[in-house]
Amino acid sequence: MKLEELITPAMIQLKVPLYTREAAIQAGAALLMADGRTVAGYAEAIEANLSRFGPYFVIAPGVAMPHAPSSGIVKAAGVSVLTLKTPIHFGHEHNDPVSLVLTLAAPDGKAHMAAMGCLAQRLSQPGMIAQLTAATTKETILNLLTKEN
Amino acid sequence: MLKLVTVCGAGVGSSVMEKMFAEEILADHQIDGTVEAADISSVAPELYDGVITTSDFAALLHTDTPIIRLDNLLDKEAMEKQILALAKGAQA
Repeated sequence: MKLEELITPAMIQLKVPLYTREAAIQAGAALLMADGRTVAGYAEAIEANLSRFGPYFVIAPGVAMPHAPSSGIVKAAGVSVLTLKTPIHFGHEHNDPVSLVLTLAAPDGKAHMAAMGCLAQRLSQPGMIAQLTAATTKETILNLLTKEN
Repeated sequence: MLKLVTVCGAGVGSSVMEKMFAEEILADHQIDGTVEAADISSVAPELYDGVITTSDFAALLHTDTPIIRLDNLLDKEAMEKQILALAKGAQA
């Protein structure tokens, strides 16, 4: 699986006015479901994961990557991208507040792992998070995440 | 050989990203080692030379195996320093 298959323009929304972490999780999961990456129930699965382990999926300053085990709900790997109009507190000790929500659907098995690795690689580039957060078009987000630099 | 495991809640997201970074770091420094990704419920830390995870999960692991704690999972340099220190310790 390639990185550009993980994210499509329909799975990106910019400067979204959301004000709670629950609303952000719902919105991120809804984009994955609308694209057929999951069936219903993924937002609830993420919230169960959250209440069990806390907001560990706030992976870096300003960046949340909500996800849950596949459990038959995830049909195909995908990442939806939400940038928030105003940052939201997820309750993470070090990495709050969150401006970028990358909701991840990962099926069982290893097919998506290479693409995930590429994504991690992109995200760790210096300045990448700031550029994604500031992006004003979906094309900018897609270019930053999927195109060769 | 250095055996590492990355740990997260689901075993499919953050731990997979950490596994990629850790493998690159081992390769960059020509350290002979393996990295697996696991979820917190099923991981057996005693089978590894080092565990890579977030502070939250580190607090849940009761083990003598050294733990590399990361709060910023995208900070590859922080991981690199800690893996190198662990590899050095393992050789000594």
